[in-house]
Amino acid sequence: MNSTPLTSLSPGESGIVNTIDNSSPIKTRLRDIGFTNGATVRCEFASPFGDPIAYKIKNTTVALRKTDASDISVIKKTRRLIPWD
Amino acid sequence: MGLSGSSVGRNLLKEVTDIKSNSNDRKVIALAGNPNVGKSSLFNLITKLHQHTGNWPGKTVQVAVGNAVHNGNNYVFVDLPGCYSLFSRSPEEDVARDFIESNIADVTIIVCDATALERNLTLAMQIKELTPNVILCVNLLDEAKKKNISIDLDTLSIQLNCPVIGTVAHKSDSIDKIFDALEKYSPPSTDEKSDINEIKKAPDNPEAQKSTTENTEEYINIISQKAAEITSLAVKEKTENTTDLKIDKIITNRYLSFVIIFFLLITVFWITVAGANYPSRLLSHLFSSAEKPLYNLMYSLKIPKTICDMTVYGVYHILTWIISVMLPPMAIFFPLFTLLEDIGFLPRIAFNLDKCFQKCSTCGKQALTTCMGFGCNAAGVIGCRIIDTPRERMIAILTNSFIPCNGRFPVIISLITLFFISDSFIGSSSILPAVILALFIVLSISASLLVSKLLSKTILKGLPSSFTLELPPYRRPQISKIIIRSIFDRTLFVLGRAITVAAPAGLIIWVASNTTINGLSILEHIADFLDPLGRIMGLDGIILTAFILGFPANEIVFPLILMMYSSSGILSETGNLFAVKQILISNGWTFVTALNTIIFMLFHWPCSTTCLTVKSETKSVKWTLVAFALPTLFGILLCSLINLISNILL
Repeated sequence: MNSTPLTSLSPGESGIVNTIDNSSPIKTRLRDIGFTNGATVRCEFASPFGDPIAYKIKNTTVALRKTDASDISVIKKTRRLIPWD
Repeated sequence: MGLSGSSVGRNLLKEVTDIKSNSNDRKVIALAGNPNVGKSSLFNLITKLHQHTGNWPGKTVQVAVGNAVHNGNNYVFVDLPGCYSLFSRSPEEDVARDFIESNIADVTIIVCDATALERNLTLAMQIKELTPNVILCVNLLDEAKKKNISIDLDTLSIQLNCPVIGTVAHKSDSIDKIFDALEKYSPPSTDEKSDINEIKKAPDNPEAQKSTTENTEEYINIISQKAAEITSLAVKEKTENTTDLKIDKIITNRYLSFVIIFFLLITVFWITVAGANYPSRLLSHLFSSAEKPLYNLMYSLKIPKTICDMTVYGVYHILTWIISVMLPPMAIFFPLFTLLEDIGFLPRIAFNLDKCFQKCSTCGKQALTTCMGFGCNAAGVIGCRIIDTPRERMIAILTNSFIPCNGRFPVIISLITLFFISDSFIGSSSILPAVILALFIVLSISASLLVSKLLSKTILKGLPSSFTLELPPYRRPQISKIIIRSIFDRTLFVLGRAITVAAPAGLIIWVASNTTINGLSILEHIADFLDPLGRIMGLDGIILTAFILGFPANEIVFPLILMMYSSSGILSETGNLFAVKQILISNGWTFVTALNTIIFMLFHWPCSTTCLTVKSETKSVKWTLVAFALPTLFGILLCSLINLISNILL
């Protein structure tokens, strides 16, 4: 499976957290708020300007700026999870 | 910056150690947990001490301590700052970790959010590594139920090997459950070692820190795997409740979001201004009716006439004036703001507007402190605590007073009505003044963004820092609590600071306007001295003098201008707008004078209350001076520029 940056998920799409780039200044913070290896993350919605983007992780909604989200690589799940979207 | 982790942590430790050594029968109970899990609400219920809690992750930076008695047992509760982890070395986490590690607490209650148990358990397990005496409190069970999440507390208790209780934050039987668990609690008998390798604290030496980074990461991975395992055993989620997501999709919609924010702000202002009108008049009437009896009383006590005049017409008059113009709008604005905070709407505003702030290399949460500044700049400055990084917090503090507060709106609205629309419109309910006001608000927001950008390119250089913003679930507000909290924590606090400055200022204003040297009052001398500068800015000496004397409260600037023009020596109600316009025009006011007065009203030094607050938040005289000078210079330059252009054109 190929891993892609978290930012490549569009709203409604899910992925599994693979790695967080070492260059990320908030690597530990991201781990703390739930972006641990193997965790499922779902892209929820973008802000009106397209950045930041809100993600669902471990049942909480967290907004990340694109620069930070692109440091997280995920393995995309193919199935869409929200039926009405 | 304001609250450094170590100072708070150490003071707290000392305080609790003192409590412990003074009375042996008192048990020390620490409350720990993720931000925004209702920890502070539980603390308030237990100790009946009203500490501020908001639906905002990371709000509790200060540590609150409170006492409680139950069934004859004495307890001291310590509300530790909310944090996600104990190893990321933020000030909050340092405070929490130092306290837990000291093992000074007899029991640590780990408060968890039932709707996000997995992430909460990660912290719970970290805490269990540091202290064996823990009780897990699964809070917000009502919200979990709404989200179709059921939690098996017994399984949790077995898996974690510690007592587990389930609570609903604002229900009082939750408190009984907590005390029951505390009374039944006995420390674990066997000193069992956990199977997770022990990494207690990253060393201070950066070299050594580097080498432990990998260990820490591995440790976090192990812990989060274990948390996921336990969660899968104890938590059942049927179908996902998507109500919040549906609301969010509307609120963050590309087009709707700005309409919603705009109308919400307008509504809040309208309610504040309209609602404050009557109580303000009532208060002012009450105070002024007490003025004469007070004067007579002092006079009958054979107090010299000058002292009576000074106290009543100076101190009392200005003091009560400020209370009656400041108290009602604050008592309306703050509860409304706290309501939006409690519902969970404010983080969404920060989310929507973050991009603008990102462009200025600042934090998206500055959008919130900006909104707060519309109510009161002092409250806005305190609100900057929600911004995590010192650089961005400082920028938010320094630029907050570019936003016009409640106290400045009435003058701006009056001047717009008098000079910006033709006389025939005055009094009619035209939309025009509102549109012009909106333009001035846009100007002030743009100025605060521009200055933020300038600051982050110069003296507060830095890249936009990373930020993570949790969007909490929408919650039903608890009205009574909101009112109590916003009145006590915000309104009275700000009013208290205002009063401490208003009293001496009242004295100075009275003395300055009633002492004459060479036939002119001191005020007139000051006005003469400032006149050249005033002229350059398209104003005059009297207007500038009024701004200076209006330092304790912007509300009194306009009455001061009228007082000096009519040289009456006592502030009085502005009353009839047409009469006011006649006074102003006969003193040489033009459209440009009014425009520049509005501009200077938007951009001049922060009021004394705000200055005091900046001082206490930054703990630095230097930065307070910067906060003072920035808007002042901006205003002087802008006014001079406008005056120059108008001189060339007209």
